[in-house]
Amino acid sequence: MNNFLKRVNLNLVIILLLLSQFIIFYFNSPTERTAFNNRSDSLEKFTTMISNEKGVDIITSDKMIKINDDKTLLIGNTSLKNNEYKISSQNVTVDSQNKITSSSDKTQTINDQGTLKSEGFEYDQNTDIIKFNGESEFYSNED
Amino acid sequence: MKIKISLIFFLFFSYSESFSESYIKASNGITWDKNNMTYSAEGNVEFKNDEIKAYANKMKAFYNIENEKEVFEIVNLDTDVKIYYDNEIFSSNSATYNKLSSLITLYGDVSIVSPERYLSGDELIVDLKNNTRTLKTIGKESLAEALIKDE
Repeated sequence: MNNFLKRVNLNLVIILLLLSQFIIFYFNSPTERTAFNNRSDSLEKFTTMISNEKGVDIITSDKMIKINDDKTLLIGNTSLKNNEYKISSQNVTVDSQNKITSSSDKTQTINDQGTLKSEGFEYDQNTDIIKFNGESEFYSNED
Repeated sequence: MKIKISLIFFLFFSYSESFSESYIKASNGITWDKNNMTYSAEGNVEFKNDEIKAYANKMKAFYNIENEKEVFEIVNLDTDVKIYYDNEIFSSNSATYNKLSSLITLYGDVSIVSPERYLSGDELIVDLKNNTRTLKTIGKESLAEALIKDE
C-alpha cells in the first residue's frame, strides 16, 4: 500500500512538473512574439562608434530614426566626433547611399586650430570636404 | 594707485593682443578641404590675421600647421577686393596675399589710398617686408612702372 502511494505521489509530482513546464512555455511564447513585433527603428540617446581607415568616428544624438536602408535622421542635439574635429548640430540627416551627412540647423565645429560657426553643414564623405552653409565664421588661434 | 591701475590696463591689453585671432567670415558659407588644407569662402568675405584685414566676394586661403596652430600662408581674393594694411587701403579686382614672402599682389583696377596719396593702376605689388609699392600701368603700347618707398 505504501509503495502504491509512493508511486502515485511520484506520478503526481511528474505531472505537476510537466504541467508547470507547459504553463511556462505557453505564457512565455506570446511575450517573445510581441517583443519581435514591436521591434523599433528608432533609438533614444543614441551613440555609435564607426571604425574606418582614418580612426574612429563617434556619433551621438538625442534620437536616431532609421527612415530606410539609406537614410537615417539624428534628431535633437547631435555630435559627430573624430580625431580631427567635432561637429555639433541638430537634426542631422545621414545619407549612407550618397555618403553625405548634412544639417540645416546651427552648427559649431571645433578642430585643433579653431572654431567654425555656421547655419548648417554638408559633409561629403567621398571628397572629405565639409561645406558650412549660410553665415559662417571661423576663428583661428594663430598667435 | 594710478600707476597700479595703468599697469593692470597695460597688462590686460598686452594679453589681449598676444591672443589676437585670425578669422574668416562669409555670408554664403565656408568650405573646409582638409586634404588640400584650404578654406574657401563666398559672399561678403572678411579675412583678418596679424598683418592685414581684407574684404572680397570670394576667397581661398591655404594654411599650414605650425606648432599645432593654423597659419594662413597664401590667401587668394577675388572680386571687389579691399585690403587694409596700417594706414593704407588697397583696392582691386583680385589679389594674392603671401605671408611667407610678405607680398600682396593686386590685379585689375588697382588703387592705393593713404593719408598722403591716391594712386591707381593695373597691377600693384606691395612688399610688406621692404615697405615698397610697385605700381604698373599697362597702356596699349607703353608700360609705366613706379616704385614707391616709404622711409
